[in-house]
Amino acid sequence: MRRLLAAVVGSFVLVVAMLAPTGPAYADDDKLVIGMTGKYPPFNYFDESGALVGFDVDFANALCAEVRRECELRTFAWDGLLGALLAGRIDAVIASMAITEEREKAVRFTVPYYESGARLFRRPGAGDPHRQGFVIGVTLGTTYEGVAARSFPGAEVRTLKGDTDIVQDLVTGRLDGMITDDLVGAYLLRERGGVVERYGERLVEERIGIPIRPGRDELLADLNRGIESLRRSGKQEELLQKHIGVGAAAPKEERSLVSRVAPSLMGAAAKSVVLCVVGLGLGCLASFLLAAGLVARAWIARPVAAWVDFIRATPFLVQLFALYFGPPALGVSIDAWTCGALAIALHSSAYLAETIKAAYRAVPDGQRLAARSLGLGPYETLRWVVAPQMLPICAAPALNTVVAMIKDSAVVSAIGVMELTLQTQQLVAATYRPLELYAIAACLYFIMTWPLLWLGRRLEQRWRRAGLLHG
Amino acid sequence: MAEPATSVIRADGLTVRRGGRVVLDRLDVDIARGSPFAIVGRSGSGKTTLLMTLAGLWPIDAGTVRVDATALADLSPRERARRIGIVFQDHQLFPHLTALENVSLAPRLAARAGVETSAPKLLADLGLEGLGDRRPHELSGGQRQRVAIARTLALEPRVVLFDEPSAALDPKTSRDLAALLAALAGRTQIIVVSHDIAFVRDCCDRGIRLEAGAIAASGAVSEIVEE
Ligand SMILES: Nc1ncnc2c1ncn2[C@@H]1O[C@H](COP(=O)(O)OP(=O)(O)OP(=O)(O)O)[C@@H](O)[C@H]1O
Ligand SMILES: [Mg+2]
Repeated sequence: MRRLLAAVVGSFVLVVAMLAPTGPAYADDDKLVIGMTGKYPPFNYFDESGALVGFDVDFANALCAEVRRECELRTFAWDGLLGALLAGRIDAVIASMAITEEREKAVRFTVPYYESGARLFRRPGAGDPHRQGFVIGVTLGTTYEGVAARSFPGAEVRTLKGDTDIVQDLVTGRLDGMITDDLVGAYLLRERGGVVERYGERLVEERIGIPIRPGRDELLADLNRGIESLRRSGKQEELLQKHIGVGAAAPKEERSLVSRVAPSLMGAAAKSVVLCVVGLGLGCLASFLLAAGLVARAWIARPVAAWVDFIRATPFLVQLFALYFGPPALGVSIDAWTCGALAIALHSSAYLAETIKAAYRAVPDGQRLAARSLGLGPYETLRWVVAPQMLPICAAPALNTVVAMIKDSAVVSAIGVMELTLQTQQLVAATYRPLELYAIAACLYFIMTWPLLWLGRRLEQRWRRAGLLHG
Repeated sequence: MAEPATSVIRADGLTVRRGGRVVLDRLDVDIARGSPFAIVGRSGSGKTTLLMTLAGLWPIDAGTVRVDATALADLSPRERARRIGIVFQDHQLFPHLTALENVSLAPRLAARAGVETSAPKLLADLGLEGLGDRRPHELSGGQRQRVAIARTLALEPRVVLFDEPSAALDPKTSRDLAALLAALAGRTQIIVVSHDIAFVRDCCDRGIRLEAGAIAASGAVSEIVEE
């Protein structure tokens, strides 16, 4: 599934890269728009108050000051960063991206702004990593899998989704060690000391640079000068010490995790609600038009039905990416939130239209004939005879669609729209506490959706008692 | 009949094809205003088709239907409904509306004056006093039929067509209905489609018999029914 996803995302990036070689939608000249994931503590992540912080953030701001440009930081999924760069949505990526030959084929890198590398961290008491059966966790899609196999031939290597999951498995003893970035490990030691310990030397050295679009030589020269200057002045070292510095004491928190994260999670839930209200509101309006098309004459109904089937037969995530990466290739730029809302509208409209059509068909033709025999026109028939009978039939399925869509709205986190799931992921990345945080998120989703399910059941009961629903 | 026979509904050369077959074949009927009129015939002879085309609800392939000398095709739906009404075999009451709302919907939308008093009165006339607030699923089959009749009569059409009105009724209710139709004959022209001979004898004294989409007999009920 992940591989499929990567393929889909990859092909979007490719298409965008091919279609938009002279990217049309740059941010204006004096402002530098910088992309990062916000999911990579201690380099760039969201703290418990929801602020984007970390070494990359401070370095980006220092660098902008150095080159005398205003700075705007935006977050994207890791998979989407280079696509966004090539599509002209951002000017530079300061996201702790290692300089590799593969990447250099598509983008230009500045000189490195810091160096790091892979290192083994092990669970205290896990024994010698060179022994047979030592279990090492690495993040899927990173080069660490190969590093692990080469450096510890006797070990069993398991790929997991991210460091957070790996730490969770280290805690429960499913893993004996992990290979991750040296500096990330240093931060982990600071945040959850005792869970792991450093082992040996760095296994690989990596240089971390800033990708920009090919052809922007002036920007490249500016950034290179800025990086050199920050290194010479000692600012870079100071920031590294502040965020990662070995032995630097982690600020001790007195309050419980729940009380620390509750405000930002509830704020994010509210954002999810707003997004869904707008998206589903538009989807509802569109669904009436589509439903009207579906019950119209064949030459209208056929193309509309094909469209509705197409939307229902393709994944929501793919539609989201199409909306997000498609328009910039055609010279139109739509911001991520609007894309998210439109994707929800698009997706829900197809399902709601089917529901409405089914309800329309479920009202017997005899009812329309009776209305006509009484002299009612088409609009009056719809308004006074057909629509009131459709409502009980389609309310429960429509509410089910709405509930499914609210849950699926989590998917828009993939393009960096701030809502409950993205906020949760960010907090998980910052705190290494997936269990508690996802449990809270699940409760919040439940609070958002359950009243709708309850309402659907109540209405159904009422209409059934009133003889307006059968079966 | 003492009065001169004036034509209330008249079809000329009525031809209807359905699914490629000719169902009504150049049919001519002329019904004079008067007592309830019966249309009888075997199953499949075209009775329902004739009724629906006379009501202006099904398309016609050739020919004309006139009510009081006005061609139905020239009328708006609202004007047509004021001239000719129909009570369906399965009534087709609106399930989301009360009995009273069923009756008053069309007159209200047609902006007829005095619906507030005429609709309850109509229900009372048909023996439905006190049942105005009930919805169709809270009524018996016979009561539902009378609500459907009231709904059609509310627009005071010149002609009311009935499709198999005695189909689901027991003999006693069926006789009551025949009496009701006879009583309504003063208000409007009643036309009944039925293959229930006993009922036809009870309610009507004249009519036609259809056979394969054409008129096989016409005149007094005793002459048109096959024994
Ligand atoms: N949609 C259709 N396609 C083809 N033939 C049809 C269609 N509708 C009706 N018919 C045919 O038209 C003829 C007349 O049908 P109609 O319903 O008017 O008969 P009827 O006299 O009302 O019969 P019944 O007493 O069974 O109700 C029948 O032979 C029927 O098979
Ligand atoms: Mg019939």
